[in-house]
Amino acid sequence: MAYGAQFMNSSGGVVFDSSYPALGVIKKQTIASYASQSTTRYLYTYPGSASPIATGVSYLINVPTIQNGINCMPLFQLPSNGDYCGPDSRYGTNDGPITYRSNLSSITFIWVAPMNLLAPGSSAYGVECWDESGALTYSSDQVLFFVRGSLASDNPPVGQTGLAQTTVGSSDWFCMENCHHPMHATGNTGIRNLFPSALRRQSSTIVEKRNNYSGWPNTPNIPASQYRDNWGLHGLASAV
Amino acid sequence: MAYGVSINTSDGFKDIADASSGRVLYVYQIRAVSGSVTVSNFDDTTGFFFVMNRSGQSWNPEFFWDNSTKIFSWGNTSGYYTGNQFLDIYFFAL
Repeated sequence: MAYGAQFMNSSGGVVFDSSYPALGVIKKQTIASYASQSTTRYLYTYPGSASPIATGVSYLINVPTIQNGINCMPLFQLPSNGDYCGPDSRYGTNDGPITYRSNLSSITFIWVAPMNLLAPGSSAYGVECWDESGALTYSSDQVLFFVRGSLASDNPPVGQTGLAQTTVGSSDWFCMENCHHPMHATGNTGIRNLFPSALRRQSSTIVEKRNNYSGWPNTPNIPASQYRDNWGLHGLASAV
Repeated sequence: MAYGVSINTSDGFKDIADASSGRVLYVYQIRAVSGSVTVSNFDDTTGFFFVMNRSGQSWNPEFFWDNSTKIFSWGNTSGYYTGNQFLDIYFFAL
């Protein structure tokens, strides 16, 4: 690299490169949900059974993606065992372009955006990095979002009845969004229907991905060609 | 810490091994019903893209990523719904 800084971990992995903006936390807010008209949602049990593990009212939560004039990414927490949340794949609403369904009556979100879209910090300590155009790409003075891992490689299998689980922290933040769910076309040929999958906390260190077998159409059949396995990440905010 | 660099943050010192910041490789704005864009340095086996639908009550288009050609495309191949044409996309390296 011709300028800037790279930080490496003990494995030689690049955990920061000042050529690219890091993620800063813009805002934290708890959003109240509301009961949806299509209330009962089911998550598949594992392995292969259609018996529900979570039923009852599934709340809708409308989540803005613009904060302080910046288009940013929302992340949520699952504070207690059994809590689940997943994106509704139909469309957003006027006040929340991304809609989630959850068993929680309210969910706390944080929003993150690239550091070069944020104002520099005002602290006298720490580290700042700037790219060649003078844009701030990293500031240790900002509240940062640290990526701890991907939720990508362990999705439920295409057969839709599966469960996959990922080791996480008890206070990790999660990002899931509807655009990685395959489309349905004119029938049961995809899972872009209502609430196709969710992330559910199993324990303080494990979250599960589960597919939803109820909804419209009733039993989405996911073609392998449409399946997307790259649709989530988790991590920590440095201080929120 | 036995090696490396730690960073002083508002939450105390953080070892960079636990502080991968998630590098934003590219931010792209969709402003058409269909199209494509090349994101040469993105790899979906080690990265993640996040699509923000900026319009309420609008369907997302269908998204496709070809990790060999590095072409990201969107459109409506199902013929069922016409997707929104006002979306922003973050491409990350994790």
